[in-house]
Amino acid sequence: MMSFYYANQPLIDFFLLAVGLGYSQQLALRAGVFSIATAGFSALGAYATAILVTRHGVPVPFAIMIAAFVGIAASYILSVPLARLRGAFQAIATLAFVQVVIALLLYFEAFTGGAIGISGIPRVMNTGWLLLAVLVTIYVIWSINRTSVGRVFSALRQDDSVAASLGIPIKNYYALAFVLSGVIGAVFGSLRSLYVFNIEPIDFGFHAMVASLTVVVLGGRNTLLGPIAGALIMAVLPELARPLAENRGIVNGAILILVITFLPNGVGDELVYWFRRRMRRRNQTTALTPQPHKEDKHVIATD
Amino acid sequence: MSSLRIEGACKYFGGLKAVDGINMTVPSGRITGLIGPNGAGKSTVVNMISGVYSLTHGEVWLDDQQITRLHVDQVARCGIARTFQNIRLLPEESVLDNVVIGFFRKQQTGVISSLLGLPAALAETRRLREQAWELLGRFGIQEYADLDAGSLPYGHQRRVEMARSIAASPRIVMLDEPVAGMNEVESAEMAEIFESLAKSGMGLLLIEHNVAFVSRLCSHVYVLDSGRMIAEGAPETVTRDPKVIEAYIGGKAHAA
Repeated sequence: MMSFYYANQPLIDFFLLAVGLGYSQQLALRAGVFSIATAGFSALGAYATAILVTRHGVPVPFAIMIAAFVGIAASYILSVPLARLRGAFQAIATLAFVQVVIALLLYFEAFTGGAIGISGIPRVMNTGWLLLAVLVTIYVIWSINRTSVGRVFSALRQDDSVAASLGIPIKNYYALAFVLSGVIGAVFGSLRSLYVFNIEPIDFGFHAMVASLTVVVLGGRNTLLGPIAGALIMAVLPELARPLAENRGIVNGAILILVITFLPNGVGDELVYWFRRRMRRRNQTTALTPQPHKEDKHVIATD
Repeated sequence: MSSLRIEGACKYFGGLKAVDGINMTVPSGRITGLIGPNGAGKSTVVNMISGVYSLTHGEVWLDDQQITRLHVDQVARCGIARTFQNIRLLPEESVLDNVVIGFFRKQQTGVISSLLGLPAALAETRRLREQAWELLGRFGIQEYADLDAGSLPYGHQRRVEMARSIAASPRIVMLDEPVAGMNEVESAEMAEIFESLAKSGMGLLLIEHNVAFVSRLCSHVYVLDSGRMIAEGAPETVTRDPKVIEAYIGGKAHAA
């Protein structure tokens, strides 16, 4: 176990970072916000942390907190115009946001280091801290799934005019989903900058955007298992395809196409749904044999 | 006694006068009917009250509160619920969860306690699931609680939608063709539920095609044709009104 960890430590750490960014991406999608802004938020978080820590000597915990606030502020401001858009238009608007962030990082050289980026960031993150951050994120999303906010997010995704007809202030909840996505993205961007020594704009460009989207597409956009499964595939796949050398890209692409075609809900979601269907079938077969009424209630309460 | 009032309401789509200057009152504790042939503008009226359409002219009042210009969610929070003519459930959610979301207006725990998974929020969810379960029992669909709402037959989907609309005990509920696609026995069951809702003080607006069903249930009936109110009053008198018969059957036919 320990030897496995030491042999694969960087892989595990990047897997945890990918899971965090995957949750940021997933949260927006599950509330019906077609945002791909996660890469932009993680850039803001990473640069805020790097600048504060390397130039102003701000203690790391404060720098992470400020990065979180930058994420909240940016996503809240962006949520105002975004609330007027739907579907593909939201995707294009958030894509533009990411491009604007990258352009600004390149342009304000004195402040951001331009194309070279910022180096000499203290490497204070390790597997333990990253795992803690992922666990906290999972706890919050698990809480959402079990309570009112999760119900509202599901309703927004499936039919927001129904949600409105039930008295749900849909703009506020769209904004909430987007801000949560923004703060998670910014925090994991911040943690990433404290892990990799130096950051540059290209780390947060189109490739990063596609990566966190792929995590959710592969893994699933509704369940907690989704981003974990997606990030796991993304981490393991290049290793498995290593012997194929130059053809790795082809294999990656082929597997993506296969998953999207045959498991459109994503590997993680399909697993969870399959498990739920099994549980339900088991409940039904027990329900067929005569049982006292109390049993029914029990099924509902623990569902 | 609270009531919903529409005064001189008009809705024009360009040159088309979908609804033209109607007056209506939906009192609480009663079942009010709104009938009319296809394309008469019945669903438009529902959409005007619930805030989906803005009124070209006229006003909507709930007691002494003007709700004409409120948004859809604000109207709902005032206590006006509705169902949709073309049933709109959350297809991926279970039947039970479709009803639980209907309690939104009555929830007490806030966003923060939901995000942190505080015991209060979890307890509320448990309580709402139990209440939703009881509501399913009232509509006779408990056995489908775990199924995806999208997989139910048409008539049962209507019941789920009605259960959802009355979950937060609204003051006024507008039911758009609630017994369409149901047989005699099933619609009689629904009628019983509607009567007990009215008895509990809710005001019901029943939008229907089925004249016999409306006549049996409603104390007051409005008849809409081509956006105009052509008759109103007790069901017995309204259904004998020659104008109504003409609108429904066309020309010189006899009353059914």
